Amino acid sequence: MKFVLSGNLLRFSSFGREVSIDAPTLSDGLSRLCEQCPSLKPVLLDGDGKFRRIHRLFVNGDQVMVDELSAPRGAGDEVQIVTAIAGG
Amino acid sequence: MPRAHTFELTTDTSHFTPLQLQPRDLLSTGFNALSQWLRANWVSFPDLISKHRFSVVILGTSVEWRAPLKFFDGPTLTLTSTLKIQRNGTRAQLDTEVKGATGVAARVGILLCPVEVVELEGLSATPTRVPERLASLLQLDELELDVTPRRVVPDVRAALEKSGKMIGEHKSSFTVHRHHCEVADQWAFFEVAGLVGASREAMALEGVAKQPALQAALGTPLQRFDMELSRPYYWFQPGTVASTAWVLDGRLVIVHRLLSPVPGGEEHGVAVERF
Repeated sequence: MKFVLSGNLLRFSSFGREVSIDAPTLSDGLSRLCEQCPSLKPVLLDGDGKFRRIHRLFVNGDQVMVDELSAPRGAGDEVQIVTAIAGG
Repeated sequence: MPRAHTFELTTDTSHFTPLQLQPRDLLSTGFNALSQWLRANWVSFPDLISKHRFSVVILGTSVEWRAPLKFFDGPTLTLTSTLKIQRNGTRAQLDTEVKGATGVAARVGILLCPVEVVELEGLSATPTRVPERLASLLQLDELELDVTPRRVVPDVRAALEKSGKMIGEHKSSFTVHRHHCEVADQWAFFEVAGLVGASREAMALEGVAKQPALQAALGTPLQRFDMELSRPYYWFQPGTVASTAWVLDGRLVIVHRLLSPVPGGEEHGVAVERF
């Protein structure tokens, strides 16, 4: 799957806007994304390793809820991560 | 009496158009007035975020121009601000009066949503109430917990749909770059005034030959600027300003929808300029 990062997340991916990850589910994909871009980990995941609810996930344009993170995903899926609110 | 914070600003030529105080600068200075009020009366903005994990995001703004004021009228502005917590602690309203040599030149309102800053690296946040430990530092008359702020923009749009005549439309694109942004790499709300102003000017220049009423969009002072924001734009995000010009009761009104192709809803906010 291909993760597409934007906005305030770019600083944590060395300004890479697209990161390709080989993973069968979003949950695995997020873990591997955070391994590949360690600075993203505290921003995307909480202390228990769960995806923070302040971000929204979209697969091929459709929003995915946190209880769908374990669903199987295809290699061609495009995953966008959008921060809902920033408190600056 | 709610505590007021007053400061003087020495003006320069960039604070003004040939017609009036610049809307972008009024909003920017109004936001600085918030930071000054926080520091003087509550907790400084940096400490509020870093030590209390608390901040505010902008939900809406209003600017009402009063006594005409131009650059050569005098060298200073005096700004006086008050802050009130409203709607059971889920809203805050900063009101700033801007006085110049001719009297009260403008009133600036900024509607804020309290948020809990969930992590300090990306400054991502979630809506919250003003926590008790912070509310206890305010005066009782600064807590208007049963007051719900009035929404101006939906009322104006409804009146336009009902009784207005549309006389022009225009779309312009932009990309958010860092010079538009604040510390969280999201756009600073006061930049909206410039972006929608650019769209309005382009629309008026294009259409004024066929619609003389559009002259007002270029040659007369703004009377009011109201804006509601629903979603942020972030660094590098593309956006569109979709503007429509209306005449309502003999007055020119411009509505600007702020859009983007990012999933999750295309509308980020609406700004209304009234002449």
